[in-house]
Amino acid sequence: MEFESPDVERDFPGLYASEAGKRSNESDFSDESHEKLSKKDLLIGKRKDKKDKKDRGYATLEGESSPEEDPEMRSPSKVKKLKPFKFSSKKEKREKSRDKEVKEKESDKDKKKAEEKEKEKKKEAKVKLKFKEKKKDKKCPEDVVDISEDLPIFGVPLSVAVERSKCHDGVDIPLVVRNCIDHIQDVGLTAENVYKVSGIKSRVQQVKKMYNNHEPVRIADYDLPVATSLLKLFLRELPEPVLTNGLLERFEEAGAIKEALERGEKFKELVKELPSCNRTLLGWTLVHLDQVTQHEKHNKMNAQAIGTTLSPLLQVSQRLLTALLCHALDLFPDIKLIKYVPPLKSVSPGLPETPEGLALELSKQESLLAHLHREMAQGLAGQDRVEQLWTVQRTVTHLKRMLRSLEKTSGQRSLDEPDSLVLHRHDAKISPGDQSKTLEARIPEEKTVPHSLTIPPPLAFQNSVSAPNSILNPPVSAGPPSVPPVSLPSLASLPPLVTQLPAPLPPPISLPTVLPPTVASSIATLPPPAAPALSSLPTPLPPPAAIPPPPSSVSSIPPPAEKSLTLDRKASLFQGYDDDSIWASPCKLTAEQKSATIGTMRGRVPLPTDSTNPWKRRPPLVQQEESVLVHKQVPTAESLEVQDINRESTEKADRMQKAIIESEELMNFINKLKAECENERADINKLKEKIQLLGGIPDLWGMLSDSSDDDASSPDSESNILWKRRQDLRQETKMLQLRKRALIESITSEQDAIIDLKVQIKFLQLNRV
Amino acid sequence: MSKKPTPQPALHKVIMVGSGGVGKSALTLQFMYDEFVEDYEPTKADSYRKKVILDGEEVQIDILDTAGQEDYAAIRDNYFRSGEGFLCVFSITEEESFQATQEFREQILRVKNDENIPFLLVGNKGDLDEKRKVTLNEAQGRAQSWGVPYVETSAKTRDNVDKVFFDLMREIRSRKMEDNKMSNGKNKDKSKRKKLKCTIL
Repeated sequence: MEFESPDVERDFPGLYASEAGKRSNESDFSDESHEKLSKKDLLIGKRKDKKDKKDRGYATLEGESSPEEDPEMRSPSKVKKLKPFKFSSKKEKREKSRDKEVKEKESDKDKKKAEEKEKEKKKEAKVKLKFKEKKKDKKCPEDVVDISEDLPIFGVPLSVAVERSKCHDGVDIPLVVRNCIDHIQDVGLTAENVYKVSGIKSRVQQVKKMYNNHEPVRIADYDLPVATSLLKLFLRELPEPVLTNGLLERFEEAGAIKEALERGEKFKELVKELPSCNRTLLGWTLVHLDQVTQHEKHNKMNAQAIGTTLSPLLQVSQRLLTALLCHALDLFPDIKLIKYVPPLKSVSPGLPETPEGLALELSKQESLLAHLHREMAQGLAGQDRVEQLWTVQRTVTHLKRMLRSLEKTSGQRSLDEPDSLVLHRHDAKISPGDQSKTLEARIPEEKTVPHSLTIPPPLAFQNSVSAPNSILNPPVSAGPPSVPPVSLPSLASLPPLVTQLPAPLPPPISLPTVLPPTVASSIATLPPPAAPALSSLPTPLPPPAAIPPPPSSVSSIPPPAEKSLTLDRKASLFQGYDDDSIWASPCKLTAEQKSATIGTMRGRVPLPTDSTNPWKRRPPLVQQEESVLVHKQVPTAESLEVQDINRESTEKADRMQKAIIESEELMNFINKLKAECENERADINKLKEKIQLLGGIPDLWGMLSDSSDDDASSPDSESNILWKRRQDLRQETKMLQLRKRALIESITSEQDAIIDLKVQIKFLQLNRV
Repeated sequence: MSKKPTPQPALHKVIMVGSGGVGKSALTLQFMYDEFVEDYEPTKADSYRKKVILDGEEVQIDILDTAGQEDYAAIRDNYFRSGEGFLCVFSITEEESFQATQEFREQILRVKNDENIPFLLVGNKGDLDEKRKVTLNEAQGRAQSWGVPYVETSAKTRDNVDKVFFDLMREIRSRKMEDNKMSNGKNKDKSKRKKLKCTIL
């Protein structure tokens, strides 16, 4: 629905026709003075002039009130008309030179411009009103809260506009501006006379209104001139120039400086004084305009031309704008025109997979969510908005869950996949048990692999022990130690078994034979370690409803989960033992187990849902081990995806680990620095004491030593020597003080360095997250 | 935009309310994913959507899990307006949470301005019967005075978890049907007018 209104307006320009008569009359009226001044015989020339104007992108307002004048009224035909004229700049010139009248008129251009502006504004007001009326007619009153009058984006102070029209990626310029710049950067850099050609006013107004109404706008769907005009309109309607009233004059002064270097320095100072949103907007605009001028060859817009066209909008002199353009890159070296990627609209497609991407998306969504809440608090509560609020909230929740699961898996150094965290947890939980049961059933000797317990766990695994546990696996800390590493002897017996499993779908990841035996053995050896595990837990896993938790049954779930996850990881290490068909087994079992669970234990839940989404169901915590044995095995597509994803997450996990190691190293380094600092502090304290000693009793000391000398020296020289001694001591004190100062300085610098490092570490940690 | 090739399944918006730590998120996650989350992490706001079969008909349920803490009250209000049904949760092991339900009820009525809004009083943590502080009679009495059903659940054992959500959805559904009947003529007109307008214009 939201997109419908513009379409309607575009497709039905006649909408405006009803107002046409009125409006044209008015324009007649206001232009009367002009009419009087110009003689009738100039009429033809005037018309030409008018055309000229239109070509240049200025909507002509003087002269007749024929429909020509109001581009809105004839927007469709106008589009066609405009295009050929885009290329006619040379023709225009010829026309001009032929027509003296026109030339005369041209000298009046500025004046006219001003008039035009006024006119435009009037029209805007009218259009606004019209829109309002239309809106009232068109939409059901309860659906729409028209807030364009209350919370507009155009014509309000920049800071307000930034707040209301937010980019959710931390760039604080109004979304309108961002969208326009993005669009112009995309298609406008090589367009001839970009910024000179005006967009169809009705469209511009329409888009403006959409922004004002906080409706979603796809500016790329509009012609380039609409974007440039909209951007210009936004700048023009700012109540205060971008350079601010306070600084404008000083900017002008700086712009008048001839010496480029000096001018640049002055600009830099002034830019620093701008409010941050003004600075950002100025930066983006200038950097963008600079890029426009860099494509001068194609678009015919050099700095001069841009200066002429845009300086009135920014309320600066042409000289200043041109000068600013020259310094744009120096002034704003860190502004990169990054195309705005709005927060995703829905959960399903295109979600990022890296933790960084997720975090970025999450921050965008949260910004959007906060924005929505703010808007709603301001009374903006249409049905669409409510819908959007729920959707965004859902996305946020989803992203959080993904991130959390990612964190957990990376923390455990095991594999998991964000998107299907639930599903994978399932697999993790169930498959080991199932697997082991099946294995036990078929290969009883698997059960008796006692040696596996005694083998020390692999290094990678030890890491995982200390890592944070997943919510679902509270007793994890107890589980890992009991996990045996791959027991090769048992491996041999496995492949044939596994290949017996039905329907080996082509698994994207090659999963080693390692998994089943280990799981089996780990299960076999479980009960003993499980018991202590339970006792050490603050809150044991939910016990089965009726039975008090027998340690084995309760703990059999979490530890295997941990193990299987770890095994996944190990699996990737043991690629040599690949057996494609094997990997399918746990998942098959999982699926089957789930459906079985649903069938047996979830009678009250409507089944169809579950069966369509089997992986969303987590099995009950009480594993009915006997029932597991009976289950048939059904492969699922999801399970295979999981494996594919697993491999990716291994890599992710590895990267994360690296980052962790890096940050640990940095931490160590910082600790070292701290220690050094301490040492130096101690040194300083010692020195201080010395100084105090020296400063406190120099005279006495001097006298003492002097007095010892005195005996030998002549009485005449006595005072002299004393004096000299004092001088020496004073100098020594000074030296010591200097040294102290130097040391303090070095310490502060070291502290600075530490702070730097801390910041770096923070960054690293953030990146990791 | 979409020309509705297939009719969207009905969507019911359910909001979980109740003081902090009574198990709103636990109930939600148990319902959504069959998982029981042991460690407590206060919710700010979370939203989930799930397709379920309600009496043979496919419907979607939107669940909004709100913050129990007062800190997020402002955010909560924005959602209350859009909620179609409410699960007001307390913990049977915590008297205060039961008392707080009164406030939540009032707040919802204030926002929705509707005495008959689909609403269930839910006593959670039914598995901890030995620590019970709120008697069944007490809770039932309050529910009766409000004219709403009372159900005891356990997010841990999944006891009655589906029941509360499905019961509430049924209430929402019947409520929507009523509303449709009530303003049937008008509504139809309106919706028709809405669509026609665009083409007329």
